[in-house]
Order: sequence, then C-alpha cells, then structure tokens
Amino acid sequence: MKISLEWLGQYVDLDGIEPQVIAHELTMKTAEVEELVCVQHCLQGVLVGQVLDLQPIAGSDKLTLAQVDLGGHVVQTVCGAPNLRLGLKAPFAPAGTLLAGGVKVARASLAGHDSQGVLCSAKELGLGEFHEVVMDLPADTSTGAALSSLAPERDYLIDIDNKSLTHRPDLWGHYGFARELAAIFGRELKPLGMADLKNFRDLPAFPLSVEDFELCPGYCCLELDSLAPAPSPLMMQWRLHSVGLRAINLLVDLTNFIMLEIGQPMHAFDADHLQAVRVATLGQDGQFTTLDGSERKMLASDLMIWNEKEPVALAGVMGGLRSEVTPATTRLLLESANFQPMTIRRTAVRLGLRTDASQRFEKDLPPAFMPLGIARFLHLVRQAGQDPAVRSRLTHAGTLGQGKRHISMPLGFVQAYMGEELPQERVESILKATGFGCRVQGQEMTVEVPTHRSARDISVPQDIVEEVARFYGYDNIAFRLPPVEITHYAFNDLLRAEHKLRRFLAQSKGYVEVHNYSWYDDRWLAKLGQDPGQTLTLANPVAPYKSRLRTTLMPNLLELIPQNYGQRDDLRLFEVGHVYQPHGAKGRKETSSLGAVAFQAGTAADLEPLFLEMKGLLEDACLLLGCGKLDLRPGRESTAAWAQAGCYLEIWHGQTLAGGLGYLSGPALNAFKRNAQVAWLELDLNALAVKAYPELQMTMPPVYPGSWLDFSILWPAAKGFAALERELAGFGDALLQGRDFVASYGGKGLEPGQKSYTFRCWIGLNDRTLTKEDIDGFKERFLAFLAGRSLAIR
Amino acid sequence: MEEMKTRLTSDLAQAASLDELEKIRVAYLGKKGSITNLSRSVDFGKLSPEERKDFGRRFNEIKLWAEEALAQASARLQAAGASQAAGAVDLTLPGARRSLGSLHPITLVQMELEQIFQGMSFIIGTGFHVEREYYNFDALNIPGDHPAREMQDTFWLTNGMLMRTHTSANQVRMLEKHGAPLRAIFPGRCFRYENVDASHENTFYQLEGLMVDKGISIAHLIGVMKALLDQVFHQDVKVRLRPGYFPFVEPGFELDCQCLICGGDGCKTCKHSGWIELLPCGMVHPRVLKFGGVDPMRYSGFAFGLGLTRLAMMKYGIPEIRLMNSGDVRFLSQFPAAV
Repeated sequence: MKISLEWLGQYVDLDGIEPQVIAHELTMKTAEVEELVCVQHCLQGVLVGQVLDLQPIAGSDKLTLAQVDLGGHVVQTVCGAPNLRLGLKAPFAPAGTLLAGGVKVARASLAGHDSQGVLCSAKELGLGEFHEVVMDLPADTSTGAALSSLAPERDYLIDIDNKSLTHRPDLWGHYGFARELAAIFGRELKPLGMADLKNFRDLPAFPLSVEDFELCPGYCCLELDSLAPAPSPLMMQWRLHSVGLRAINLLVDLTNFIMLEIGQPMHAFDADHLQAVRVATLGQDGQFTTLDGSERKMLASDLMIWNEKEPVALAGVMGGLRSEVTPATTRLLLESANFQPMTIRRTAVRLGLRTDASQRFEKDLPPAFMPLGIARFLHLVRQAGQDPAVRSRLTHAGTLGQGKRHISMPLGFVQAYMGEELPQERVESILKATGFGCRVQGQEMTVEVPTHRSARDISVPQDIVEEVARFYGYDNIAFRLPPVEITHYAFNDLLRAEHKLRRFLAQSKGYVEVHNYSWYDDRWLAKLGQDPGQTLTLANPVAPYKSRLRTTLMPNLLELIPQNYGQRDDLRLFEVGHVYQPHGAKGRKETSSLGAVAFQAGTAADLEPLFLEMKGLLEDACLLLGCGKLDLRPGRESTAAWAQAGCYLEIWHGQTLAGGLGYLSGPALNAFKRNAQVAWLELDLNALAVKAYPELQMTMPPVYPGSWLDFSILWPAAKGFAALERELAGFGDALLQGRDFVASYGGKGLEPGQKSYTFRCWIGLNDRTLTKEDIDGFKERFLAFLAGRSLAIR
Repeated sequence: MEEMKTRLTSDLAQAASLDELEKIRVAYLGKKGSITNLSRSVDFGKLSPEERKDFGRRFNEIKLWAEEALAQASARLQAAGASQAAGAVDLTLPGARRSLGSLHPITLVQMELEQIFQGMSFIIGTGFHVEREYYNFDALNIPGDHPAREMQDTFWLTNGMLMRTHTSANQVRMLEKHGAPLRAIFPGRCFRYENVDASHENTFYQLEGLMVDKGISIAHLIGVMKALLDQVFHQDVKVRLRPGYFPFVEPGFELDCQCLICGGDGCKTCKHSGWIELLPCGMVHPRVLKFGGVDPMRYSGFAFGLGLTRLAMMKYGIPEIRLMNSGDVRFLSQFPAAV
C-alpha cells in the first residue's frame, strides 16, 4: 500500500523529520517499508486555464481547437482529451514548460492550427499514471493561478508491504499511519472533521434489513439528496492520483478518499434505483453484472446487497452496474458496512476480483469505522462546497462497534514478558499515546482497547506487550541468554541413525548425497515400467504427472542416473528421506528410508563386484546402526520394476520386511544405456531397531600363536555360495577358531560351471603353541571331511 | 655349492637397491633359481640313502644361508637409506582415487546447526511432511478464515491432508509429546505450491526452534538468536528486531542481522540497507501453548524459523535454488562430507 507523506501531513505535523527517518521508524515499529520514493511534480510554469471556446477541427475525429483563458490572456491549443467541455478548468502548460518524463512543451502547428501549449493530464504533471483525460479542477479554482501555489511540488511515497498489515486493518488508511507516527515522534494527532449525525436522528430511517449478522455484523447507511455533479477539490484529486487512484467525480472520489483515509470502504448507490436495502446471500447460483460491466458467475452463497428483490451490489467487493452513481446522480444512498472477512475473501478470490474494498474487508475492519465514514463523507462533501439535503437518519443494523473491550493482566506482566525493567508510568504513557486506556487496581492492570483496533489484532495480554515493546523500541531491550535447568537429554535415535548413514556413505564409501522431490514423475515411471500402486495423491500437483507421493526412494534415485550420464560413467548416489504410504482413507504412514544406487557403464562381468560392493555396504551399515544381523532372503516376485525375482534379496529384520538389495535386470534396464550396470539398496530405517552406540563384548585374543591354512574348494557355481557355506558349517574341530571366505574364482583352468572358493581356516590352542603335528592333523581331518562330502580341492 | 656361495656373496655386495636385491633373490631362490635348481640337477635314484641325506642337509644349509644373506643385505640397504628411496616414488602424483563422497549442502548446514543447538541442550525433533490441517494451521492459531492461510500456498492431498508449509507444523506436536519446559529444534522439508524459478522452490528446508519455560521473555529470544548467529557466522553479529506478523506468535518479529559483507555500510547483498532479513521469530502465542496442552499463565516461550535452504545458499554462494533438488553430481560433489 502506498502512503503519501504530503497526505499524512494533514493529520500530523511531520515538519523537520527526514522522510528516511519516517520510513525507518515505521519499519522498526509498525510495518515493513518496502520502498521510499521521492516524487517531483512538474508544476513550474503550469497555470490554471479555463476553456472558453471549443471548435471541431475539420478532418479530425478526436482533435478539438480550444481557446483557453489564462486569467487575462487567451491562448489557443489543439487538444484530444475526451473530457473537454466549455467552462472546464484544467492545468495548462504553455510552450517551454517542462513536463513529466522530461518532455518540454513546444509551440507547434497541429492539424493546421497553432497550438501554444497543452492542457495537462495528471500523469503529465508527474502525478500518478492516468493520462486519458485532462484534470478537471473545481469551478472555484482561480483562473490564471500558478498551479505551484495550489499544490505541492514534491511528495514522498512510502510503499508498505501489505503482508505486514495483515493483522492491522486500522493501517489500511492514511489516518492510521498518522496515528502511529504521532505516537512514534510524540506529535499531536489532529482530529478528523466530522459532521454531527445526531442532528438527523428525527428523520425517517432508510428501509434496511440484514438477514445474517454473521455474514454482515453491521450495516450503516444515509440517504442524501440535491447533490450537484462536480469535480472534487484539487487536493483531494491530487492525493488520490498520488497513491495511484484515478479522480472521477466528487461522489466517487469521496468514497475512495475516505477509504484511503480511515480504511473504511464506502459505496454510493444511486438512490433512484434503490427503494430498500436488504443484505442477504444470493440464494441460488446465477449471474450478476458488476459496475465494471463484467457479467460474473455467482454462487448461491455469495453475499449480496439487494434492492427489494433485485441484487444491486456484490457485498464488500464491487457495486452493480445498474445502481452505479453517474454524473447525473443527485440522490444517493451512502453505504458504510462491515462484512465477515471470510465470505468476502471467498467471493473475491473466486472471481479474481481483489478490489481495494475487498482487501480491507478481508482484514476484519473495526465496525466503529462505519459511522465514522458516513460522518466524514458529509463533512467533506460540505467542505467541497455542496449542501446536500439529508433524507434519512443514520440508519443501521447490527453493531456500531462502540462497545469498549478490556484486557486485564497482572501488574508487571508487560515488563516480565519483555524482559525489561521499564517503569509502570512508561508502560502507561506509551499505551495512552496510541489511544489505549490504562487502569491499575491492586496487582492488576486493565487496558481499554480503542475502537479503531480490531478484535483480531488486540485480544490477549501479549498483544498489549507488543504495543508497549514496539514503541519502547526492540533495540532498547537488553538481551540475555535464559537461565535453564539442566535435565537429561532426549536423543533422537532415528535422526542419529540417518546422520550416521549419511556420514558413512559419504565419508567412507564415496557416495554423493542427493535430494529428490517427494513425488514421482509418472513419465519416468512409465519408462521404467513401474506401476506405482497405491499412493497418496496431491490434489493440486505442479503438473498432472507429478501428483503421486513416493512410496519408495528408488525411482527418483534411478532417474538421476540418465540425468548424469553426460558427466559420469560411474555413479554412487544415495538419499536419506521420507516415503509416504496411504493408511486408511484419511491417513498416512510416513517413514524414513535409505536409498542407494551404484551405476557403472561396463560388461556383465562387472555386475557381481558392483552388487557385492552394495552388499558389503549394507553389512557395514548394519554394524553402524547396531541393528544386529539382518536376514537376507531370496527376493520373490515383486511389483517393483527394479526388483526382479532372482535379481534381488529381501532384507528382513525379525518378522519385518525392511528393504531390498539387488541389481537391475529385464525391461527396467531399457530405460538406461545399453551397457548400464546398476546395483541398488533400500532400507526402511523405521523398521530397524537402531542403537546409537554399539553393544560389544570382547573375547581375549589367544595367548599362544596360532596358524592358518588356505583351502580352495571346487563347487558348482549354480548351487551358490550359501549352499557351500552350509556344507562347510558341518565341520567342527577343536583346533578351528574361525573360517573366512577369501575369494572365488571361475574360468581358465576350471570346468565350465565350476567355481573355486578359497577359505582361510584359523587354528590354534589355548594352552600351548601348535606343533607341526597339530597342523598336519588338522589338515588331514579337514581334507577327510571334504572327501566325505565329495568336495574336491583345487 | 661353495662356489655358489661365493658368487652370491659377491652379487649381494654389489647390489645397490632393493629392486636389484629382489632380482638376485629370484635368480637364486626363485622357482627357477640356481639354488632351487640344485635339487633338480641331482638324480636321487642313483644316490645311496646316506648320500641323499647328506645332499638334503647341505641343500637346506645353503638355502637357509642364502635366505639369511639376502635378509642381511636387505637390512643393510634399508639402513643405508638406500639411494632408491628418493625417486622410487613420484611424490608429486595426486593421491589415489579419493574415497570421500559428498553431503548435500543442506545436510551440511543442518548438521552444523544441530550441533550448535545441542550445545545449548535443545533436543531435536523430526516431524511429518504429510501433515494434518490441524497441526499446520488450526493449532497455530490460523483458523479457516484467516488470511494467513492464503499467504502460504498449500499442496493439498486428495485424502484431506496437506504437505506441511512450514516446520512450525511440528510445534504443537512437540508440546504434546514433551510438554513444558521444552527446548527443541526440528529441521526438515517443507512444501509450498509455487512455480519453480531461480529463487523459488516448491520443496525447501527449514529449521524451527521452540523454547518454552517459566519466565521466558523477548530479551531471552534476542539473546538466543544472537548466540545462534554468532556461532553460525563465527563472529560477533549485530542483530535487530522489527515487527513481523505471524499468527502463531505474539509479538512477532523479523530478525535482521547486520550485513556481513559490508558491515552495515550498505551494499548489493543487503540492498543498501545495511541489514539482512534472516529469520522470523516471536513469542509463542498463548493459544498455541494451549493447543499444546501448556498453561500460558505459567509458561511462556519463543519460536523461530530458519530457512535452511536459504542459509545454505548464503553460506556457500549458491545463486540458484533449483540446483538443490537437481541431483546434478557436478554441483553436489562440490560439498565434501567434511562434517
């Protein structure tokens, strides 16, 4: 929202305070200033002119030849403005005048006529953006006067971040900011001139009914007659233009001016089109034409202003075309109402019609603004030289917002909450400066909330703390660290497990940590041949194919492989992240998961080492997590494209399936380069019983040196290592202290289908050193065992 | 055999490096070495048992002697700091393939902040990404008709849940679980329905903090925030509070820190204001405490929300937010796992 310092100056004397200081203080105490702009108006040499004569120019539809009185001498200009009329008073810039945008007015011959200068629009004077019409000055403006004697040559505009005003409906007008600045700088806030509405209380009420006080807590109106069409006073036009509104005519300008002054949106109906006002919802879906001429689709629940049986305005958003005031309007009904924020916002958002009025109603305006708006209107319309006849008393339904609200708190609460020992008198003086009342009784302080502050803004003692603290100055609070009681610390085991895995994979295994989105890309799933199955689904995804929440980390990790082809033919990636499963109709099961992929461009011979690397990684990870030995079982048929039966292992923790480990095969590989070898691992961290610190028991190393013997055993590869392991497990011996698998070999020198598996047997005795006989004896017994099982030595 | 001893002795004396010594070892004791061959040159069938025994003894003797002589020569060469040591290895070659991988820049920042807060005995919570409307909005004093719901464009699920728009969604969960007093942070992923561009992401990370205890004041809030920032930036950071509006705190603040680039004089980074808007914070709204089952008459507290994504971007000079979720290894591998 734009605030004009010139305008503010009408309510509070800001002389001698630098605009930069004003902007800074507002930012520090009230609301965020986004920008402070100095606006220079182009008034030098511009005079008030009056149109004396208008002649059409032959051969031109748009241009008119105008004779303009400059107060003693008459000049001629060729002008194309649509609002030219005899007697019009408007700013005139003679040749040689410098106008906005650095344009110098030149004497010229236009359409064959001498043009000695230009009649000016607001924009040409450096005032706002409107240039379609020349400014229409009030009739009492003295012809020939220098404009610089009537209007300021310079102004400062402060742009306030609207978001920081969300809770402050009182700041949606200049007067609210004047109130803040008066308190900040200790200056006097000038009261607003108001008409005394009590004078009309004997007049009849205007017929008014409100059907639902939830939707419309209050409604005020006043009927006026005998209004003459006229332009607004120069400075009212000036100020509207300066903050980006367009001056139209006195009636419209006044409603806008009051909205920008106190924050209360007003609406003026042509009373000839209105016999009785009823506030009610539309009741059934339909159409309505707003005053901008658009036909709008309405819902039954939209709140409307009705003239008996006909809707005439979209409550709080925009008036209707048929009841709009026109230059011919002499009788009007002035509306100043209060609507429920939610209903206004719903309608405005749905229609894409965020008007100045709807924006304010959404903020929960104080109802006390309603009568103020009407009293102010009557005051200003009289100031503009009109003397309308008031035809009704101030008619209202619902609240007028005059009730006082009180908030009580223990004496000293404000100081304790701030953590600053300021004297009670200081608290009270700050509160009084912004219109709050304050009363202390015993150990209790009661604060009276001024009617201009909304109930949503000020409702609890903490709101009072904010009022005091911000004017006291947050910078003045002596900050310190809180004293705390030491208690036992609750570690987050899952988070520590996640971090352990991150460090392990990145620091020991050379993996790169990635972050993927929480949803799938259906296009990639299709390429992968993956059916996502049951997922949680976004109602408003960024793209229709990105609506399914991931139930596994794997697809998005795999997608990164082709995305990184250009850079690497060898990738190790992992992610620790959440996955989401639907749970019942309205729930979810959200767990933390580790996903890892290893990719290399290679041949089939590279696949086993790649897979074993991943398996080794899992084994180390289990040690790290202290979750005990996991049970790896042959993977069954699965719905995961990357987990084909025979190409992966299921990871079981007790009775819980805790993940999988495998390599890519089959159709899923089609999504990758032809020579891609990919191993993968996924581990459900919530399914594991992780321990932050290992539980270990040492065994004494042998006192007497032992020895070792290596054996290479031949075994059909198709039977697999595990089967051989099971065979060898049948061998026990007093000397045998352990057996390690060293390596496997297949190929040259061996029968096809045969593999040689080398084991190292550790042998020793606890009571003496081994002799040669011991070793030979062991060898014999082991070889005999192998022979007994028909296992050949290589 | 004696002749072989003499030859070996002279060969060993001439050996100048361990490489040469190894060649000598192979020449004498290797599979086809001259000592090894001795046994093959004899036709044992023609020898008497005594002769066989004698040969065996002598063969073993010379083998042991040769091994001993080689070991001595090797020790001599090593002790002499044999000239091969210099130049045997090109010390200027790069180290063998680095095994250090990388952690995501957000992880790096998150781990650092967790350490800082653990040092101040804040516990660490983890919340849910898929949240109930209640925790994300209602329990944070953002009722259905509140304009603040609009400030946060929300991803909704078809089952009525939502993707949390801020880590604040975990505030009331933490209060429910731990009660007061409480010192906790909860970092994590958040979502906003936004178009992605160089500075906007629909998926980003925040770190929320919450301290609730008896007598907690604005002065404490500023103190803790300053302590945090001093540690994050490893210097004495100047901070200031100004009013900010968030429905779940009262009063609410925007906390700025003096620009670390220009020291407050004004530069491009701080848009010539001398200050950088860093973290929204405030005193926990009494209604939020009540939602969490904490009596606001006995306890007060503060909360703050730190943009981890933004902090990582500031700290590491990352100009494009889109890089964070790009999975681009060229970007990610620039952050070695050095924590």
